[in-house]
Amino acid sequence: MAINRSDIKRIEKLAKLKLSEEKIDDFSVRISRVFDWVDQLKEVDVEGVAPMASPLMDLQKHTTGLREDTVTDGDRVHDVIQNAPSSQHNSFVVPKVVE
Amino acid sequence: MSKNYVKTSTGTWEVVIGLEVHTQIKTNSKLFSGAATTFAGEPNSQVSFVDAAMPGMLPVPNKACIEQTVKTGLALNALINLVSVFDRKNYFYPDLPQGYQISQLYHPIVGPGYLEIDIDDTVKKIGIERIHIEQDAGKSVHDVMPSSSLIDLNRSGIGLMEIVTQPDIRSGEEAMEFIRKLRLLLWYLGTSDANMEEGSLRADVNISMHRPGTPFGTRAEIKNVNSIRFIGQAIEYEINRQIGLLEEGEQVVQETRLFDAAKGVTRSMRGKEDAQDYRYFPDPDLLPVILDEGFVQGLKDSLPELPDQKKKRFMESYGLSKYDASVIISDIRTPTYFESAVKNAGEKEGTAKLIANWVTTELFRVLKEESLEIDQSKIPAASLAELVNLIQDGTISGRTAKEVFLDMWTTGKPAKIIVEEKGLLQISNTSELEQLAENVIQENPDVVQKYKAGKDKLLGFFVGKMMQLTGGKANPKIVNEILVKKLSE
Repeated sequence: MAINRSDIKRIEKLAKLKLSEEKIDDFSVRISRVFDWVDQLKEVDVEGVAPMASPLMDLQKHTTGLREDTVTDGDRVHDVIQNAPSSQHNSFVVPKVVE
Repeated sequence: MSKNYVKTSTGTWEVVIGLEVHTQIKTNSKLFSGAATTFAGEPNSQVSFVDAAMPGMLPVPNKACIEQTVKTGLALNALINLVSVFDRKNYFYPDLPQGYQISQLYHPIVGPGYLEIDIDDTVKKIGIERIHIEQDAGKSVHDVMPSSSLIDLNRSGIGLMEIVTQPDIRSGEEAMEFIRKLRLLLWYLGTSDANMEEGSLRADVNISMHRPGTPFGTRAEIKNVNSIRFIGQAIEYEINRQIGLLEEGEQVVQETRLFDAAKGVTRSMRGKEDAQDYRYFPDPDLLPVILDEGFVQGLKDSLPELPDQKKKRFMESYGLSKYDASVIISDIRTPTYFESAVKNAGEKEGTAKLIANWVTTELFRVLKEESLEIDQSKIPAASLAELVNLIQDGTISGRTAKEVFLDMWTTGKPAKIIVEEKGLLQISNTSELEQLAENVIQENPDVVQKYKAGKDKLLGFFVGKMMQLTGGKANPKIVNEILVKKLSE
């Protein structure tokens, strides 16, 4: 299945990325290859096989581990924001976004 | 013909409404991390590396979030899905550090159920389609810096339940009643504070118009309405907007709209012209949630008495009217106060009804005046019980009791002490009252004559005289009996 330039532009928009013209061409070729591989997988007959939520999913045995409801984390503002390119008032600073 | 139909010059319209209610699950810690969920903490003070989506951090579900959601589902008479799966809902927004929200699209934890609401004395069943668990996002603050927004992730990762109804709602009033009833249920269950002011309960309203008997129309979705009154207003506005369009021969556009509370209007959200594509897929970081029947049964057995059950019991075992019972059960604290007062007063004919009366009128009035909750009442339940006992055994009249009640409120003294100190004891001594009646009759021979000539209403004149002479303390029932007897002699 070929992924064309307009598909890439749509993904670009959804991911709020800005790609150069060359990158768009490059990605359409590379992502097309991924889809080709998925097309190949589609040849496998999965009639009557339930979708799998996880490779570890075995309904009788593998449920998720659960946490007890206690507060064990937080109170580490510095750790949380120290890698932010910009911060103020103990908050992350981002370009103004009002939607 | 349904009273909900909207009639215009072109005929009849019917509104069809479905709600998606997002409500914060009441837990100490977040859905996938051990950070606290307390409201209004310092920015980013309740954030773990999981909530900030630091690379390599893995989510571990909070057991309490699962339990609370299952309990809510059981109280909504819903099917509990023993297998549910977390999915990623992908979108980009600065207050969503993961770049996706963990939610449950394909296999929600709770399936179909219903909630019954009372509308104009009839019970209407509103279908519940599903409840799923998902993460809340962080908060953007736009008004601190001129050209930047601040991001606070304290709310990021808090567990939410999304309760989705069937399109069974047919008016703004029904939608508001549904939310009121749901909120009350959540309070009783203790599964959510459902506090609209703090944003812990918000609703998306799906609304369309059609001619009765024809297929549903195209719907618009009004996002994030955060008060019951606004829900009513938004629906009212949207009904008129959509009818206006349709009657002009135009189409309703399927879109997301915002409710502008200041102007009372809904408007299209800008920048959403492309249909969103959330590219859902199962979250590979999480295994399915698999519950066993015993776990669900245990939660079912632990459910408290719910509002409708309590209402029924209050009507059956205390003889309360439907109205009084509904008023008393409509918050979580009043039933406790009421039952404690009834218990203290002892089981006598009419005691519970009298207490219900005092609670819903006098007590509610003073609480409202001083903006207090009933558990902060300056008159404890046991003291109200004592006051009601004094009325019932004839010690004081109902009228005097109102005065005593206000004194109890301001001084904190028990009713008995106030009655003694102020000499408010009701005079029920028959011979004393008989003597008084004799005097009143002797002094007013002309009125007696008129009364005997058939002017029955003049009895009130004599009752008034006696009340005047006793400072309102005469037992009105006995006074009446004595006067009727003496005047017929």
